[in-house]
Formats: sequence, structure tokens, C-alpha cells
Amino acid sequence: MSEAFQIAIIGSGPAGMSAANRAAARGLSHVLLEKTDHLSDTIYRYQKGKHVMATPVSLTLRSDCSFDAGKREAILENWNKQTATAKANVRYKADVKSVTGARGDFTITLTSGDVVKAETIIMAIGTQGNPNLVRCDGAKLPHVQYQLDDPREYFDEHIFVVGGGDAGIENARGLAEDPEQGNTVTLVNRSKDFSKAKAANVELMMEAQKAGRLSILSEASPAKIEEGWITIETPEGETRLPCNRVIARMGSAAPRGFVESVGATPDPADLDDKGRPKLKGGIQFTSEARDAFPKLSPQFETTVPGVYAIGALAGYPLIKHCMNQGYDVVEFITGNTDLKPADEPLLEARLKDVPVKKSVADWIEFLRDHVEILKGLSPLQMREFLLDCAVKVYAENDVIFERNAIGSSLFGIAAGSVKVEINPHDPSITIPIGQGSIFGEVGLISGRRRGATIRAGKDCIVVEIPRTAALKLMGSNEEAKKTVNRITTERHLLQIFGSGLQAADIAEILKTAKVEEIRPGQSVIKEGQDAGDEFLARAPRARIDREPAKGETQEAFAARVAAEKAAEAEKLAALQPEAEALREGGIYDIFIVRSGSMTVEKAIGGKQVFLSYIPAGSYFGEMALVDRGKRTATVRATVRSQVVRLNGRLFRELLERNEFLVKQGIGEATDELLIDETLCIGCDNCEKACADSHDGLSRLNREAGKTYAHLHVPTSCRHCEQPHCMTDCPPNAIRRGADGEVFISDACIGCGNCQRNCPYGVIRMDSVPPKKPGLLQWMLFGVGPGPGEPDKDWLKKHYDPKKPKVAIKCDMCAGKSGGPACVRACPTGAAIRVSPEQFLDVVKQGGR
Amino acid sequence: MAQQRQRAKAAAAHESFLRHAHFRWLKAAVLVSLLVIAGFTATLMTADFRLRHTGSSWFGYASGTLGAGLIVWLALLGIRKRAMTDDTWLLKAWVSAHVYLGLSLIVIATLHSGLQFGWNIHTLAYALMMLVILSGVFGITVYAKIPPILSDNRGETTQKQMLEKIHALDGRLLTAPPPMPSARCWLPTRECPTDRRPPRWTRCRPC
Ligand SMILES: Cc1cc2nc3c(=O)[nH]c(=O)nc-3n(C[C@H](O)[C@H](O)[C@H](O)COP(=O)(O)OP(=O)(O)OC[C@H]3O[C@@H](n4cnc5c(N)ncnc54)[C@H](O)[C@@H]3O)c2cc1C
Ligand code: HEM
Ligand code: SF4
Ligand code: SF4
Repeated sequence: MSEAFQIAIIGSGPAGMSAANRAAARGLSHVLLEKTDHLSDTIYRYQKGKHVMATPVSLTLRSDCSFDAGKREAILENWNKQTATAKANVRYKADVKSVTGARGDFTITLTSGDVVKAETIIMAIGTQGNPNLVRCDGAKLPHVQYQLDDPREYFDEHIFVVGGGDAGIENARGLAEDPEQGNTVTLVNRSKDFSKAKAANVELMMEAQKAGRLSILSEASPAKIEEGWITIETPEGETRLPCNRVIARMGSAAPRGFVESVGATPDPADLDDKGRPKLKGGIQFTSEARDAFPKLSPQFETTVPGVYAIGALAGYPLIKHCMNQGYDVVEFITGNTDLKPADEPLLEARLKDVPVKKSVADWIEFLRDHVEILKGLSPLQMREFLLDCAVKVYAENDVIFERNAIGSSLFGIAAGSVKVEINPHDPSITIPIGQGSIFGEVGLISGRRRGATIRAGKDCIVVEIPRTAALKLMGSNEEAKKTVNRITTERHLLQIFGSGLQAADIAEILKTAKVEEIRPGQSVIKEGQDAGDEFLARAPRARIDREPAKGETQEAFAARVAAEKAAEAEKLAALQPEAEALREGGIYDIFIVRSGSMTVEKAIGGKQVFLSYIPAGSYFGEMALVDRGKRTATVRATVRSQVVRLNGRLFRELLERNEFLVKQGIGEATDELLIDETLCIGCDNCEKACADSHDGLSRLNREAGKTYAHLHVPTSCRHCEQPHCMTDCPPNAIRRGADGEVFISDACIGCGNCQRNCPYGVIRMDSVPPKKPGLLQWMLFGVGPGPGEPDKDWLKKHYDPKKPKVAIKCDMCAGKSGGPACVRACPTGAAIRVSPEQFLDVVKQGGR
Repeated sequence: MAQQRQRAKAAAAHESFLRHAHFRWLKAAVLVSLLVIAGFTATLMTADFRLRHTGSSWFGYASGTLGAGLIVWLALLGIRKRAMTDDTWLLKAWVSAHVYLGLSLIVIATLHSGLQFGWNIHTLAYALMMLVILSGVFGITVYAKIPPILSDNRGETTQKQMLEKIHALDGRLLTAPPPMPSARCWLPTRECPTDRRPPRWTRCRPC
């Protein structure tokens, strides 16, 4: 069967649905293809009763469907009704597998094998992707499922959970938790270990296994699924086991691969590693980065003519944006190119107060032309970008920001220049930064305070880019990222090694500077190593196989390994002279922490003892270079970090040329809650105070967290220099405030992304409990739950479970003159807040 | 406000409640005690002690009022530690003052009594107050001794994890085979084959 439509819309989320309704209103022949059997699967899968929010409030909705903040169910029901009344042509269970052809004649193939023809295509498939599927006989049987809503709903079943990530482990544990349910639970893991899961999760699962509550099959995968049985392939061979249910939790594939294949044709002349022809001419993305979006024209057209992309897929994750774009794109396709985007009034308002008058379109052109990092942006991206930014005009010598001020925005100079005061004691000494360049990047990268006061030069127009917008820009635009990185490293070096150094002095070092990614826990330098060891350890190693290749005899294999080993030894021997020279000279590389943070540890009495903390923006490794001894401590990353490796030899020369001491350069960083466990009596007054001063919900978990030498770092927000939580917040609700705190504003829509992104697990999703009776009432008459977070029983009685859940976390008690409530409420002085540079002092001195 | 926060931060520096602000409240307590001793000595010199009327002397009234006021204030700590009002107060400072001024009550109340003890309601009140103070002293020793032990015992496990571990151990005990043939039956009571169930928490004799 094959039909031809003017417009085919793929995906029925708010974006696709709004497009279909517009097409219906316009009387265009159209079809809305939806994979599932209902509209808007992403929203359909929100938890029951979730309160859906309609942000940004100021943006007007322009769509044939209505949308207001409210319950998930009400919104979906409303959309169903409106889509039906508008007679939009929806085709459910139409999972699009491939799209080929060109404008005017596209062929859309569904997984069912059906084919749909269309002249233009609107891609609105969102970013949720597809769960990875079980691939074996019987994988399509109804008792194979990819989600588990409530593990307590299953009784007396033989259940196999496939997948050794956190999701799989949590499901398996949940199903086996209560022996009364009588489930026999088996976890099937493809690899030997559980490296993808959190350690605590793995430990609890192992406990459960020891206790006989669940079994684990490692290096195993399902080979065949039948009614009542499953066959598992293990290293020992296949086994057939009774099985009533399979729950597959094997992650999901981002839709990028599918999107890139749209409109592409295989090129038989160009094969990939697996011998398959590479696809050519599909939809292009702005970069290789994981979070990149398709390249789009101002009319949402992708690089494949006739294929449009809107909604979350296009980088606009808010429902309102999605719906507006659905409307706009259909208008564009029908030739209404004069349609002004719905955000035009917003942009006009943004630019209203700028003394220089230009139209919105002219401003966009002007900024794109004049600021280097904005050159690669499409007009569409520029619009979105400008919504977040501020254009500012300064008179000569006006202060743009002051030294030590808190701020993480980036500035681009669109006209004129600015002056940097490099000497805090003598404001008359300044260095100019010219038009096209940027400033403020140190705050952006590391979240630290401003390093210098900056004044405006003549005729200065700058664009201030908030941190999130700047990060998004760098994420979606490779050029912008490179430029920012180059400028950052150079200025970083100058700022750290400060007085007396000129850009020319470090030009050479900069050329060889390398940015390296460090995994959490990975060490950058190791105690006891010398320069030679370090050099050899970094030499690339050949991979020597441990098992013969397919078809190789044992003898051939042994010979090959011997040859490989000899070659390796030879290579190492060739490196020895260089290693020896470095060792002799004590020439060590030194490092700048570009993002993330490091800890310094030393082995004392056979134990690694935590010594100090290195925040982003500081450097390490200089000690051994200066005194030519061995490395005296181990430095490892606390979180995923980046360091800049600076060549030791060049640095030694620089040191010898410039006689300045490399002094400890840790600057202001952000605060952290510490508990001195030689003083903490475990009264939990800190947690109670936190709850009572924040709508009755504690943002602090005193017990959880790491302890070093009786110094405990409880789970409370670390106000990271590079807040992970900020990376993927649809409404940009997470900000850095005036006191350096990272806080979540009222704009939160409760999506839970930040909770998943925070590596410290300090964000909780909850709704605000009702007000409690007063303290005296409780003390005198026992009314209410008393201080701290109300207990469950009380909550059950007084609580409206339908209240929206939002993300909450420590805000450092911003706005409270007395400072953080947890510190104030500690009776013994065990709870303190310190910035990283005080960390070491606290450890050394103790408080007793 | 930034300034206020700065000051609040300085006050919250890494010092225990005993050392708070360079022993400010210890000094205050010593001063109060010395003043009271001076007042008592002055009264001794001027009043006729054998008349046993020190209570109605100016010193009696003054030290009595001071002591009563102190006791009321000391008791208010219970409210202070639970009322999370927004201000610059620090509970650590309150506890520091509580401890040292509370101890100075020993001097104040004893001298207020004029050392005139007997089998009466006044002496009972005095003894009860001293008991409360002694309980405070006991509390301080506990505050000093317990935290490092708590910390060492706990390591990095949380209460929830401990409970989960106990739960897991329970599970293992229930399913583990008896360690060796013994004179007693190790079966969990609900699995007793003969249904000669002994009372909870006791083990049964082999059937
Ligand atoms: C938990 C959570 C809470 C959120 N809360 C809010 C909120 O309160 N307010 C807000 O404004 N935003 C919120 N968001 C963001 C918002 O839901 C999404 O950004 C928005 O739904 C994106 O819309 P879309 O139309 O682009 O894509 P989606 O809504 O993701 O829709 C894509 C549709 O395409 C279908 N599809 C995918 N692939 C194919 C294919 N190959 N063939 C056919 N069909 C296909 C899918 O089944 C799906 O129905 C939240 C997001 C999450 C995850
Ligand atoms: C008559 C004298 C005293 C009175 C009436 C008194 C009263 C109180 C009260 C009401 C509390 C609050 C208990 C709670 O609600 O948690 C308290 C706590 C405490 N008291 Fe006293 N007290 C007295 C003397 C002392 C003395 C002399 C000491 C020390 C030597 C002391 C040490 C403490 C300590 C350590 C606490 C716990 C503080 C905390 O952790 O919050 N008290 N006292
Ligand atoms: S919530 Fe987590 S990621 Fe965000 S600033 Fe705090 S500790 Fe860092
Ligand atoms: S839950 Fe977190 S990521 Fe999602 S909107 Fe709220 S603050 Fe942003």
C-alpha cells in the first residue's frame, strides 16, 4: 500500500501534533506518523499525575492546539480531543524505519513494511530515542518488556532481568526485595563485571545474591525466549530455564543515527570498518559532540532539502517552543516565509533599552558579523541565543565588572574595545582586548570569581552571554569551542604565573599544551614516580592478545606474541635514553586544572591519606620540577576533569629565564559543607534546621558521603565550579547566585534531569509538605510532627499527593543574613562551611 | 547583607563549642563567679552571719535573682535549638555559654544558700539543681568521648545501609545450614516440623 501526502510528520509530540493540526487547518494533505498507539509518547510516559509546566511564561503560544500548565492526564486528553476535532490524519503504530528520496518524492518505510510517500517531511521525533532491544528468537513475545513501573505488582514469577546497568540492577533488587512476593529473580549481564553501575548498587545486589534472594548470570545473554521458558547462552554453554517474564534494561540508543540516515544514500565506493557502505547526503549535525543538533535554516529546514526538523530534536525542549515551531514550520512550507517567529516581541523587548537602535534582524546580523565566536551560528540559533543574552553599550571607562565579583557569564566585544586592569594596586596599567574577542571566560570555565576589573574602551558595545547559553554555544559549535579554549588557556597561564610574564613568553609552551580528559578517580601523577617513569608510563603500548585469533594455531599464536613482545621491548629500550635524560634533569610536566577538581593524597602507614584539594584554575606538579626530586604525592581527579599538560622542559627554561617563585595560587572557590566527626554527636540538628528553613524539606543527608581522617563530606550540594546539574535543564532553571551558590529557580518543570546528572546525588525530587503547627504547640501539647522533616505518617494524613514535584537542593541559605542554617544549628561546632583552599588547614589543625 | 554573612562565617569558624570565640563564655563565667564571691565576702564582712539572714541581704536578693534568671535562660536552650529563625545566632555559641554559665551556677547557688543546708525544701531544690548540673557535666564528657568512636564505628555506612545489612544477615541466617550438628535444633521456629514450637527467642530441644 502506498499513499502520497504533501506533508508527512514523523513523531506526534507537542511539536509534531501541533504541525499536524496546522496542516489540517490549512487543508493540506498530511499524515502524522506515530510509533506508539497514542499521541505524544514522551509526555504519555511522565509519571501519573505529573504537573506539566508551561514555561517560558512570557512566550505567547501560537498553535491550533491549546496548552496550559496542568496535570499530564488533562493535557493529553485535551490534545486528543483537539486533534480529533481538527481531523488531523494520525496514523498510530507507524514506526518509521527509513526515509529515502528527495524533495517532492520521499519514500517513508515503516517497520511494518508499509510505505508512505510524501513531498515534504517534518521530523519531530524528540530526543528520547529507542530502548535497545533484545535480539533473539521470541524477543517479540508479549512477556518481554522494557519498563518496570512498580516491582511490587509481580508475584510468584520466574523473572529474568537483562542488563547490568543501574536500571537493571535496581529492577532486579526491587523484584526480589520482598520474599513474600515469591519471585525467582535472575539478572543476566553480558559482561563479567558491573562497571557501568554505581558501586553501592552492585554491593547491595551482591548481598542479595549471597542471601539467596536473586541469582546472577554473568557473561551471559538470552538466546531464545519461549512461552514459559528462556534459553541463556553462558560461557559453559546454553541452559534452558523456566521464565514467565523478561525485563530488558539495556539502555537506549539516541535517535541521531536514524536522523543522519534520513535522505541518505549508501555509497558503495566508501566502506566502513565492517565493510558496509557509508551513508552519504543525510541530515548533517552541527558537530560530532553528543549533544549537537541538526544544522537548520531559519525555516527549520535541514541539510536535506524538503526535510524539516522541529521540537526537542531541533534543540528546543520546552513544550511551548515545540508547539510554536509545529505551527511555524507548516506555514513556512506553504510559502508563508514572512511569518515573524513568535519570539519576535520578546527579542524586541530585550533590545528595547539598548541606546543604539537597530531592528532585531539587523542586530542579529551585526553581532554575527562582529563577534568571532558567533560567526558559526545560524540565524535561528542566533535568535534563541539572543533571547538569553544582553546587548550592552558602555561609555568609556565604565566598569563592566570588578575583580573578585562573582559571575560566570561570557562577554563578546561587538564594537570598540575593553581595558583589563592587570595590577589591582594600580588601575592605570591596563591591557586592551579588541573587537571580535571575548572576555570573562575564566569565570565561565571554572566558575571562579572575576580575576581582574574590566573597563570599557571607546565606543564599546558588548554582548553578555550567560553561562548556560555560552556552554550551549560551545557544545553546538566546534569553532566557538576551539576559540574559547585557546583564549582560556593562554589567559589562564598569564593569570596564574602573573607578574612579569608576557603573552610572548608563553607562546611556545602554549603551542605544546595539551588538554587531557581525566576520569574520576584516575591519577594524573603518582607518588614516588620520577620523570623517567612518567615518560615511559605514557609511551604508547602495543596491544598484545591473550588469546589466539580465530583459526590461529597455538604455535603461531605463541610466536606472534613473542614477536610482539620483542618489538615492544625494543621500542621501550629506544625510549630509555630520553627517559634517563628527563630523570637526570628532573624535568616534569606541570598541569593546570581546567575544569573539575583534584585531590592530593599521600601514602602514610600504608594508607592513602587525603591532604588537600585542587580546584579548577589552579596548577600542580611544579614541586618536583623545582626541586628535581620524585613526585611527592598522588594527584587524582574527584570528578570528570580536564587538565592542561604543560611541557616540563619548556617550563624549566621559562623558570630559569624569569626568576620568580612558583607560589601557591589557589584562588577563591566555592563553598562546601564539612563535618568534623571528632565533634559530631549525630544529633541531626543540621538536617532538621535545613528542613525547617526550606519549606520543610531537608537538602542535606548528614550520614551519606565520604570521610577522610574524621572529616566527613556529607551529601549536600558542592556548588561545583562546573555544575553538572546545569548541563541539561530544559527551562535553564539552575543558576549561580550572588554568593556563588548554585540554586534552582521557580522555573523548574520537574523533569528530573538534574537529579540524574549530579554525580553526588544531592538533588531530590519532592513536593513541598504542608505547614506544620508551631514549635511551642508541639513542645507543650505534642501537636504536629515537631522540628525537621515531617514523618511519613503525619505526611500521609495531611498531604496532597497530587502536588507537583520539583527539584530541590542546597542553596547555601541564600538570602539568610546569618548564613547557612545547618552551620548555625550545630550545637558543637562540628558543621562548618569551607572553601577548598581552607580544606587543608581544617585537616591539619583540627577544631577541638 | 554580604558583610553580615561574612561576619557570620567568621563566627562559624572551625572551633568546637568549648573553645568558641577564644573561650569567651569561660571567661565570662569566671568573671561572674569572681563577682559573686566578692559580693559574698563583702556580705560576710558586713552582715552578722550567725543571724542566718543572708537570704534577705542585698547579696541574697542579687545572687538569687541572678541564679533564677540563669536557670530560666539555661532551660530556654531547649527552645532555641529547635526554633529555626533567621538571624545571626549560632547554636554553638549558645551551648558554649550554656555550659560555662551553667557551671558558674555551682558558685552562684552555693553562695546564695550561704551554706545553710538543712532538711528543708530549699536544700532539696539545691540538690536537684546540682543533679541537673552534674548531668550536664556527664553530657560534656560524652560529647568529648563519643564522636570519634561513632565516626570510627560507622565508617561511611549510613543508617539505612546498616539496616539493609542487618536485613541481609537475617536472610542469610534463615537460609544458612546449621553450623554443626548440635544438641539444639537450629530450624527457624516457623519451619519446625513437629510443631512443638517453643516461645519466641528461645531455641528448641532436638525433636
Ligand atoms: C520527565 C520529563 C518532564 C518534563 N516536563 C516538562 C514540563 O513540565 N514542561 C515542558 O515544557 N517540558 C517538559 N519536558 C520536556 C518536554 O516534554 C519535551 O522536550 C517535549 O515533549 C519534546 O517534544 P517533541 O515534540 O519535540 O518530541 P517528543 O515529545 O519526544 O515526541 C516524539 C514522538 O515521536 C515518536 N517517535 C520517535 N521516533 C519515531 C519514529 N521513528 N517513528 C514514528 N514516531 C516516532 C515518539 O513515540 C514520540 O511520541 C519534560 C521532559 C521530561 C523527560
Ligand atoms: C540548672 C542548670 C541547667 C539547666 C536548667 C539546664 C537545662 C538544659 C536544657 C533545657 C537543655 C536542652 C535539652 C534539649 O532540649 O535538648 C540543656 C542541654 C544541654 N545542657 Fe544544660 N542545663 C543546666 C546546666 C548545664 C551544665 C552545668 C552543663 C555543662 C556542664 C550543661 C550542658 C548541657 C549540654 C551539653 C546540653 C546539650 C546541648 C545540645 O546538644 O543542644 N547544662 N540543658
Ligand atoms: S547539585 Fe550536584 S552537580 Fe549541581 S552544583 Fe551541586 S553538587 Fe554540583
Ligand atoms: S528537574 Fe532539574 S533539570 Fe529538570 S527543570 Fe527542574 S531544575 Fe531543571
